[in-house]
Amino acid sequence: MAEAVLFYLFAAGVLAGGSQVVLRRNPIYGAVSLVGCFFFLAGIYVLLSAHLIAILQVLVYAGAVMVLFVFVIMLLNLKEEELGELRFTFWKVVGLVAVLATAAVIAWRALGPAYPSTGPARDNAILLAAEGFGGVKAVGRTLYLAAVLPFELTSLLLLVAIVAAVVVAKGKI
Amino acid sequence: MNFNPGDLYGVLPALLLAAGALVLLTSEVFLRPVEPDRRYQAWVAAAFAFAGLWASLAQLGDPAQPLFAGAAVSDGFAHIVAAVVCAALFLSCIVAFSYLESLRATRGEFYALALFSASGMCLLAQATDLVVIFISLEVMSLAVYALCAYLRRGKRPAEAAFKYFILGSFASAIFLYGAAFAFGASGSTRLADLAATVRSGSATTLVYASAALLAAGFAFKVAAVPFHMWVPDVYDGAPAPVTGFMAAGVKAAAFATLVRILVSGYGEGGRWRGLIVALAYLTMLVGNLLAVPQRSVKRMLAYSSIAHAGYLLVAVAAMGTSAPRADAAGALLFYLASYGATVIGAFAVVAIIERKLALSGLGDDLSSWAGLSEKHPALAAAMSLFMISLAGVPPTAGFMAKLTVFRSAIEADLVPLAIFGVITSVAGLYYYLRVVVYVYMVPEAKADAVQGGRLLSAGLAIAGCALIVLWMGVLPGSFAALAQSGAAVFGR
Amino acid sequence: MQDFIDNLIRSWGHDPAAWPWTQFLYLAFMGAAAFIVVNFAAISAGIFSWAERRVAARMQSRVGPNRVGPFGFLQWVADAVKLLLKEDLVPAEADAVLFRAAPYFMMVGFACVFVCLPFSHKLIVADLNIGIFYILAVTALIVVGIIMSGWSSNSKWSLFGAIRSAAQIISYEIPAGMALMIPVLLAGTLSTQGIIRAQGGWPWQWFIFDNPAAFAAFFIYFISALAEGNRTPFDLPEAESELVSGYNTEYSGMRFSYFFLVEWGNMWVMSAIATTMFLGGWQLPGLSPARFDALTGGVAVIAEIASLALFAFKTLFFVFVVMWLRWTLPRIRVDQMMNMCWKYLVPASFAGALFVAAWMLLVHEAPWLGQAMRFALTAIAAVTVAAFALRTLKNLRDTGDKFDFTSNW
Repeated sequence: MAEAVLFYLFAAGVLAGGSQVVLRRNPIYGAVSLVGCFFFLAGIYVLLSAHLIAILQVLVYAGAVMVLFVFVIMLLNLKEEELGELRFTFWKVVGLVAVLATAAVIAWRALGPAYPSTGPARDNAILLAAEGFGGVKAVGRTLYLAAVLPFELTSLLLLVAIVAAVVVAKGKI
Repeated sequence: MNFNPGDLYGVLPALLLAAGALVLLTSEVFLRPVEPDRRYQAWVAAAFAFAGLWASLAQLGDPAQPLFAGAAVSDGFAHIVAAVVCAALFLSCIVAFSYLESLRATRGEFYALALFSASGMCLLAQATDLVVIFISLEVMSLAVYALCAYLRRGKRPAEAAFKYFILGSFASAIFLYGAAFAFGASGSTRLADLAATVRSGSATTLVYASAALLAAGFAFKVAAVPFHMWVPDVYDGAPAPVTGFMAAGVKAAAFATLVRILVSGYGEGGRWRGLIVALAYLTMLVGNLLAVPQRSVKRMLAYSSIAHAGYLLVAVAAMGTSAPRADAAGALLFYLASYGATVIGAFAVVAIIERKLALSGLGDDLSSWAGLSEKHPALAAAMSLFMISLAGVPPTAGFMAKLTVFRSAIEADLVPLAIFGVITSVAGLYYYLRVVVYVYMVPEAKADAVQGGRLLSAGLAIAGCALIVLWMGVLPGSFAALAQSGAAVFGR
Repeated sequence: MQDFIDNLIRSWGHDPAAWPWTQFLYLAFMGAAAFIVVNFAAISAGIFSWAERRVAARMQSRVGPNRVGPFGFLQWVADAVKLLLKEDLVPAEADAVLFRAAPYFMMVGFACVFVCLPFSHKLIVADLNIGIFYILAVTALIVVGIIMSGWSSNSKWSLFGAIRSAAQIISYEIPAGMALMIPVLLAGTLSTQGIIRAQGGWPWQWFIFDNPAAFAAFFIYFISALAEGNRTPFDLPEAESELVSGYNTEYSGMRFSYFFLVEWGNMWVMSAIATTMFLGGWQLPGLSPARFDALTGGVAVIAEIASLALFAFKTLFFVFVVMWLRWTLPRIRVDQMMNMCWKYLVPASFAGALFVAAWMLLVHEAPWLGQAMRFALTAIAAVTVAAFALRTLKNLRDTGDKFDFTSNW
């Protein structure tokens, strides 16, 4: 009961934050909404007993990544006039319809009976939710055994990103 | 489940390439601070590319086996793609050497990024897990974005890189969304588990949605219509050696992954075939049509790259039915290799022309090609050969490649698609031959289009490409056998 | 805490799983704990504000606040009342929503830390199994508050202060986090109580003296914590001579006091973390955690109070060191600050983590090596402290204390 209440609370927060990110015209507000969205997402992780992931979510995204985002936005310091007029174009309407249609289909299938309550998806999920799920040990074992290749590849990706950023930010060649 | 160090041998080409990149980045530290001599970098990069080529060919005979608990696979298909990527990198490094040295623009990061992206491409071809696919895709893409922005003289390169980055990130996001759906449907990111879910017939909405989104994400990377908008600007704005590498390498890796996802992940139903057929029709039509009015050879080659993505999609569509699947995969591999050799050669010639223009920040125009044959008959002949090969005229690699692709399409009962492909490639003759006409028949109007210096290495690379193009066209046997041995994993 | 409440319910003769009021009792206890902790934070911050001014005065041979209460001790109450009653100004051009919200972000980020901070053997709000990670994570909220306050003030001083602060905190989070990973490695757990329990009461059982890298990690953490708390010599975000008051320039009244509450309260937090992670926390010499658990009756209460006092003593000592540093060291430049972090502390902390991992393998093979290193490091530290104390005494003897204790003190 309490869990359900908390879930809907957090889910509403995530959706509100996420939609504000898209809809807000001032990027600072967008970024702050994203921070809020991440916090509520961390709450959902906690409800799923993934405590470590929840903390990492707050530490890395809300704490570090978003601060750097806000940092850049603050330095740009866009004025209201620079954001341009609010316009409704044909493609925005099309996009809105597409978003609503997708959301409707997903909601209908996810809430309806067609969503898999049996079958391979459930079996795989049960396999994942082993003993000590969400703890440091379980996450560590997953990272270094089942997901060792993507985990190590991520370090390559970060290195490439750093080198790429340096190349782009360097003076003209 | 345990970490098996032997699995590292399976990803040896990618490891070699990444190690090469690290060697190059580290070597920058030891250069003397004033007027450092960076000429060694191209050759170090080429050596590592060659090592990667050797490693992937050496592993070709090994039996297919899963690596890292099923996150990747070491099989013939992946090895052939890795070989194509490494060969493309090898040739591109030599082309880039002459291009960058003549523009005094060599930096260690250039070759390091090229090696990193090739490493990502090799892993992409091996990945059988959506997370691994995504990360390798980003390793490849981030490096290529930066390479496009490498030589920022004039506005076009920055514009190209920015467009590529924004749209590429968008495509990655679409791919991720599809991967999330696939995970929702199957409870796992492994393609094998996804295939089991597809077989079991549960969660169909999520499965279809994920298939469409994943295909859309990769349609962007392979430059299929309607996800092709970025191609002309990016191909035009990037340095010509990078464009050649991008056209050959990114395409090979992206097609390999697309095939892997569709066949290994969604293969049993084969319902995705309709989607790919539609994409193929559109891509062949739009690519060829829009190439016709182009005045810039680089832009024309960009649209031609879109058109070729269409022909490659024909081969992918042919893999939708089980009977000729291995044949179609072999045709795909052969096509990728032949297109790679041709397009790198073509962009190597473009690079020589572009050198002079790059300093002024202008794009190339057909008029700068006029009368090339008078002063540089060898360059003119090579360019004509590459154009003929792209058009698909015998006795070149392009012809054999198209032939095998259309044959496999007919085997797969896709006769209208094959006929449409033949018609569009005949239409393509017009704009390819126009370059040849300019090179040989229009009298030279301006000063020499080629600025001297360091032509030997570029010439070597062009000669190498021309040799491969002719070899694959005249004696395709050994290449076709290699492609078939790689495609054997799809024969069931 | 849950066990404690469950036992309480059982002692009343109910089954906690079935009793309908269990959840409400949990909530009530959570509220009470939050109330106590927030008030502890606020009051300690207030007392530190008085203590810092007295320490500063002593170091500069002046008197400091001495009017309100004995030794001016109630000065902080007077200040708090004054700040509460002042007008809460919002600049006309400021972004009102973010401007008003920013101090709360800081307060929340700061107060949440106390959930996992131990005070004694039993006194801790919640001993999470990811304790120290949780502390690192919620501290990050303070940066968001600083950035929001700086930007929303719509003032150049505030913006510059906020940008400096964000850059500084984000940068120093990395060495601080890596340095804290060393005790985590040694203890094999992230829980704050677990880390204390893995140490011992005697100095040579503390993690700081476990090996050279842990010894270095303590100082890396301490320096980084100073920078994260915007304390001198890293108080660039509030550099009075350049930025008026940094990100809180435009604030007044109660909202202004929040910023300083967080800054002074942070001194307790960083010192308590250092005590927990490196200095044996509440461990009493000669009383192992297992025997501590087994104590009952009055002895247990005495031991509990002793452990609380010991923890508080260690923590307050470091609070004093922080103040001492502030009135001793000059402010460093921005580039020096960044260089120090990225070129020295970050590589050193990573090397330290690697060294400790290797060291643990080595000690596993040869336990006597670990013991020898502990005693050697403790001896070196003791000699250093003694030499420092003797030198200070000699200086005092030679020059004499110039401070006048007779008037106004």
